[in-house]
Amino acid sequence: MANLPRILPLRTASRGSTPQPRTQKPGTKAREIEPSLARLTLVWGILLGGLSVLGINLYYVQVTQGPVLQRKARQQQQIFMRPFVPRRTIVDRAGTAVAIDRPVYSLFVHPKLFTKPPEEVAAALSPILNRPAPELVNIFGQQRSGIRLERTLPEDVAERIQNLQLDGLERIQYQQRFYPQNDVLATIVGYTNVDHRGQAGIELSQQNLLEREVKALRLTRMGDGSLMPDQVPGGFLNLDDLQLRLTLDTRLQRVALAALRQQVKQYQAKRGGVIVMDVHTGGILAMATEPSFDPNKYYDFPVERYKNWLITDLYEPGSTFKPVTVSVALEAGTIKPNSTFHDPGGITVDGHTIGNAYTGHTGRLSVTEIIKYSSNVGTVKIAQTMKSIDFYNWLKKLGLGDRVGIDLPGEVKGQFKKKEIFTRARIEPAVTAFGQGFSLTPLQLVQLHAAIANGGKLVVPHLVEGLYDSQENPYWQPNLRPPQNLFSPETTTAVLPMMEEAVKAGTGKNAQIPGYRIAGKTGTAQKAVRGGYSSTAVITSFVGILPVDDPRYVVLAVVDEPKGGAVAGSTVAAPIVKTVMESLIALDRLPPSSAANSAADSAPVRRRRPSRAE
Amino acid sequence: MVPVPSNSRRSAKRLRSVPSVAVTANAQRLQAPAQVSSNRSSTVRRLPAKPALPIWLRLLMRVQQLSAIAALGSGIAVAGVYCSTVYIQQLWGQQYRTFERLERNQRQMTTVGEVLKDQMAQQAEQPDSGMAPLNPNRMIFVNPTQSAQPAAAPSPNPAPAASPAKPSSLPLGY
Repeated sequence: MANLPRILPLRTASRGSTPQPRTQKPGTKAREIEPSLARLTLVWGILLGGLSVLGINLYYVQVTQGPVLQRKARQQQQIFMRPFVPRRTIVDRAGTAVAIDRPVYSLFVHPKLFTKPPEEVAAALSPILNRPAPELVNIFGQQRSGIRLERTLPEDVAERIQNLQLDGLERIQYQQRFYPQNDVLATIVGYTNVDHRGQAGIELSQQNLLEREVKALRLTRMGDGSLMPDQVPGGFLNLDDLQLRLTLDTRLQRVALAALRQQVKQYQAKRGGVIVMDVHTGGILAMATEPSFDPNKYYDFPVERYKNWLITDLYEPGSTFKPVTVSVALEAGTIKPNSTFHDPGGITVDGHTIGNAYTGHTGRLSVTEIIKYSSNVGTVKIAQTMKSIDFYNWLKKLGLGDRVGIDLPGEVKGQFKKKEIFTRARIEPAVTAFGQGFSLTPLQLVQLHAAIANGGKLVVPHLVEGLYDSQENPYWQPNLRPPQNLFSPETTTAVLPMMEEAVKAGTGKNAQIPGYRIAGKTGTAQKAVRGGYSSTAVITSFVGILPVDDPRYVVLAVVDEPKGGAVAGSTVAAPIVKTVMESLIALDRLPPSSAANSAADSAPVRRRRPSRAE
Repeated sequence: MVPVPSNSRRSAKRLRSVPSVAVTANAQRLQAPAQVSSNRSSTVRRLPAKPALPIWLRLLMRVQQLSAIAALGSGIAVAGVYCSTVYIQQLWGQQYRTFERLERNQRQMTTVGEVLKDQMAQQAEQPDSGMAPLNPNRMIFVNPTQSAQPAAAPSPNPAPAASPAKPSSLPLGY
């Protein structure tokens, strides 16, 4: 009978008529698991009820409240980011940053959004902003929203405020240009305005090299505040590391400015300027003007200080132009280096009498002596060896009446007579010979002297060396006009010793530096005032070339309207040039001139003293 | 399968006598094994081997097996990739914050460095700072020795600069 239970289920299963569970054992309570309709309905009802409640809520959240919630979510997750894309840094030739971009923050307060009492907010802000809490509470009471509490908060302060996690405070980031050297480089580097646009100097002229494109991004933020990178455009992080490098040397500029300030102050001059230029490249190492301004607070200074008068204002160069006249005559072949001229102390041209500033050196003068004693009469006679038209053409070739084309904004053209006027009256070439009757910018005079120093080439003065990356690799360099040949090396090698004589034993003694061969020329020009010349106002200048055996630099100092008894290029401007040249020697490690050594270096023992820190 | 015992035949016969259509049908079905066992001796016999499955079916089964494994694998991979996308974004966000902080540090270092330099320079300009401007009087220039001519014969002139034999040589400056 053991088989029976095995077969019976088969039968029952095949018939399907008796729904007895196979596993049912005798004695189990089959009735209890009988489906009950009430229970089924109850469970069904609960489930359906739950589902419909969920459905209603879904409708409420998705449809009714949808837009509001969506906006809220977007506000929380999405940020409209303006990544900090700085304007490129400007550095000098030694890599010193002279214009740096930095983010600063405005702090706005919206008291209506405060979740804490204003007193508490004020107490939290007070130590960070360094302002008394009652004052802040007072400010909070003035308006319900949009109170600008601070204008330029530095980054770390702004971060401390953010870490307070207070509602109702808003930081708005913007960029600010910072000039660490304050007024030292102001007239060259210039400044940027509130909109971060260059307004003067390099900042204005090199706007396209300095500016980087800033695009606002819409990014999604995660719960912890970190950004989701999936919407970040390519190249977002690959900001170039290019810097605009200038030919300037901040240390030299500082020395030049200090020396200039001292002389301007001592002689109560109207203004002054110094230019140092590399004679071979045309790169400007220093260009200082006094008075100057602080580009960090440019709005505190009068507008006329923003300009760089060394390129925007014209002056009559006076005797500093004489070496140029001599070079022209030598190049034209009308005089020889050993020619001599008779200087009786005065000469009358077209009824005008021209005299010498320094008396006591009359008689037969060589060309060297004419330069050495700055003889006006001798220079006029040298100019008279040429036809007026030839002299005129030569001066036009030098670029008189034109711009030099420096990479700074606002350069003006020099003033030079028209051909007809110049050639008609004999007085014109005569006064032009010693640097009066026409005007140029101080920079142009430097350019002409550089041509004498570098073997006769007219180089283009410039400040921008190029864009360099952080590994010092050049990325872009300015395309400068190729230097134009003016004089032959024979001419310039003849003129330089003449100018050296002027420093050694002539008017430029104040610029001597023992051990170094220096060429130079003083200039004390009467200032032109409404059709004539002022009897009192002069513009004093000194131009120096260093070193004569291998000329590398031209240094010009101009002091406008110095007051006092003995005002001349030799007393006012030459000491500035000397100080600047001494620094140049130290900075560029210029060795003493070998020829000058034998004579001057009887005592070459030089002690080392604590040097200047910079 | 267990061999049917001998008494099962009896019971089968008894069942057959029941006049019921359904039972008859069942009994006929049950009859077959009983008859097989009755024809043979009581020795245990091996059942015939299962007929080999057709090749296409086996292939299909294999494919099914493999694809199941592949599905599982790719499921895990998808989960992994998904996790990593979320994680990488998070990591990126963290790294970006670090990057921003470093950038800020760099900016601040540059600025502070230049400001310090400027302040030092301004202090040095004060007359009582104890510093003096660097100028040629405070520098030493040493002429390089000519390797071809060793200084075997000591010069009677102790001044190094006064060696007129080599006027073109550039002295080393420092």
